[in-house]
Amino acid sequence: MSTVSVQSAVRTYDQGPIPVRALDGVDFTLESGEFAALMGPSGSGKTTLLNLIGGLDTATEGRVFVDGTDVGALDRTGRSDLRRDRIGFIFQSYNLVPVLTARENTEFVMMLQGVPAAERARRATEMLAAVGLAGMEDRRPSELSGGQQQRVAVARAIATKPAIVLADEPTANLDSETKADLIAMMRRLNEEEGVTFLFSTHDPEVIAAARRVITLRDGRIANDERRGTD
Amino acid sequence: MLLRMAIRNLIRRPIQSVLASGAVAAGLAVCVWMTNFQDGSWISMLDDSMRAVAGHVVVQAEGYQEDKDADLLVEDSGRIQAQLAGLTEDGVVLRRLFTEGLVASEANTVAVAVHGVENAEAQVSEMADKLTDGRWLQAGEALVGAKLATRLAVGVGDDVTITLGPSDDLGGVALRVAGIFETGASRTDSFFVLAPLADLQTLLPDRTDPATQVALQVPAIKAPRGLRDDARAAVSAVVSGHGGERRADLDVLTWQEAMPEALNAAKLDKAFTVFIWAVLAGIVSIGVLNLLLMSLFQRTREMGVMLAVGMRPREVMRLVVLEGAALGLLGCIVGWGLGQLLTIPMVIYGVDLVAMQDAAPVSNVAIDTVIHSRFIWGKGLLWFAWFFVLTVLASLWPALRAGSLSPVDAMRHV
Repeated sequence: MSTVSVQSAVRTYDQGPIPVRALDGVDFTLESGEFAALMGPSGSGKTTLLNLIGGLDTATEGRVFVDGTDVGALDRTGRSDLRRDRIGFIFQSYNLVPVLTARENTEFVMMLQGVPAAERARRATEMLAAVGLAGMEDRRPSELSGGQQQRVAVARAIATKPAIVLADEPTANLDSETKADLIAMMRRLNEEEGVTFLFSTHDPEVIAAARRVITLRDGRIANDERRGTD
Repeated sequence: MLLRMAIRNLIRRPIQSVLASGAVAAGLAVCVWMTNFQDGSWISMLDDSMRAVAGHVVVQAEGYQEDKDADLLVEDSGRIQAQLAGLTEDGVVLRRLFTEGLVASEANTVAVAVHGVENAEAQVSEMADKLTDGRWLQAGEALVGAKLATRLAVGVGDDVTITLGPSDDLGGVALRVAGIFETGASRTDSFFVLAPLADLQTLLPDRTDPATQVALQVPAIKAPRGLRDDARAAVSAVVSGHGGERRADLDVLTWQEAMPEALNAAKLDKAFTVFIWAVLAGIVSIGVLNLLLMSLFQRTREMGVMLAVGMRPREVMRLVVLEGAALGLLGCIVGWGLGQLLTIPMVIYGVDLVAMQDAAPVSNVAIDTVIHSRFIWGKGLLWFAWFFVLTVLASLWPALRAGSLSPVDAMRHV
């Protein structure tokens, strides 16, 4: 079973008299352990596709399956539960809850899942160490750099062992050195832990690191390239 | 963790949180303080009035309560007094005669209300504190109001004659003015006389030891449970002096039954102010609503992220309600404490409000115009609960809005 299966997905928005087809019949699958990037110009449908896979939006036509579950068949609560249990998210910015420490942010989704406090704390500490933030567990986001905040977001995303991690422009606000560190960390997690990543990105460095690059243009897949990247 | 987040969210916007909880605190402090003051003043006024014209238990002629007919009298009042005295160790049983008549001096004759009282009346009446000249009356003496004394052109030591009824057909009794009182209530000071019960009884020769009421009072504000039933039993055991018949023509009332107008006045006043304070609480809760809406607006992206990573809408709602509850709880604790603290000086020192005399629920009685607040704990806690509930209710709409956010739209919010 594929981790993600998108079947003839269409997403239409009603904006004024002419409806906008952000996605115009997308078909693709993503297998477990892939490190893939969605690329394309602005308006090509990258974020829309990511939102459909992440259950943040529903397709107008077609179907989207995540870990075997038809996302479109779920109600609002069902999609919340899907995101909580099977999907990790990393956003471009404002990832973290400002009033929670790095550890508490990492524990956040586990708390929503009902994981006991002791187990949450143990896994959070382990994840923060895995992303290179050992010793910074009690810092608030305002006390962390942009790159460190994104590392916490990665730790939170993988702490629950999701089926897939969806990252929407995760390196957009980072300097080049921090960006390189973050990409390398996520590659390592992918290779050593088998975490499945799907990026939406303009960043050539992320694209270069990806082992599969799916190019979108005008709401359709224009190219789907698999690489043997180191 | 949600509670921790809620409290931290309030702390990270200290000015807004202090303003909102401060509004709750101020509103509740005012309600608590005013309740302690208002209830304290009503308790004081009713207690003074009750002790002056009634008692915790009052024995009156049947029908007097409805008609207030001066001819409806309790006869053999002394025997009833003795029976009731056996029901209390530290209380007092007083006989009074309420009637109307004329008071005459050399200069003038005035129609007045007359209260016939016993010496023990000085123990319970505030009138003793209102004497501006002279002293409390003894046998053969009277107390007159200051304005009445002016109209009669009398002072302490002068003689007046009191007759009962509209004319002097029943004869009169000569009394010396022992004291002049001034309550501040114009009507009382102009048309009211206190005289010894025994002297007035001489004007009713065809009645046996008559009195309008026999009143049993205990020192505490609240009467012991069952006192009225005990009094009923005691009264029914009195045998009249005429042929050994049992007395069946007497009413035994609680003070609430004897003074229903006073009680209703208190209830009406309290109900009106409760309404005012309840509206105040509603206004305060609007401030909380405003804060929470502003906070929600400022945190829309943050809420979007929380929803996106899997927080259920009702969990977001719970977070917002927890913030409102935390605000409300803090404000209520501070407000309740502040209200009680501010009550302390009013309990100890009180405030002299001469105008309160005119607000006395019963006429022709003197009340202590130094109003002391009392700690009304039960109502204070009710106000606490009311303000807290309103604060939580005020958080429901912001909570609903937060829960209905679309994660995608919320994360685009600037």
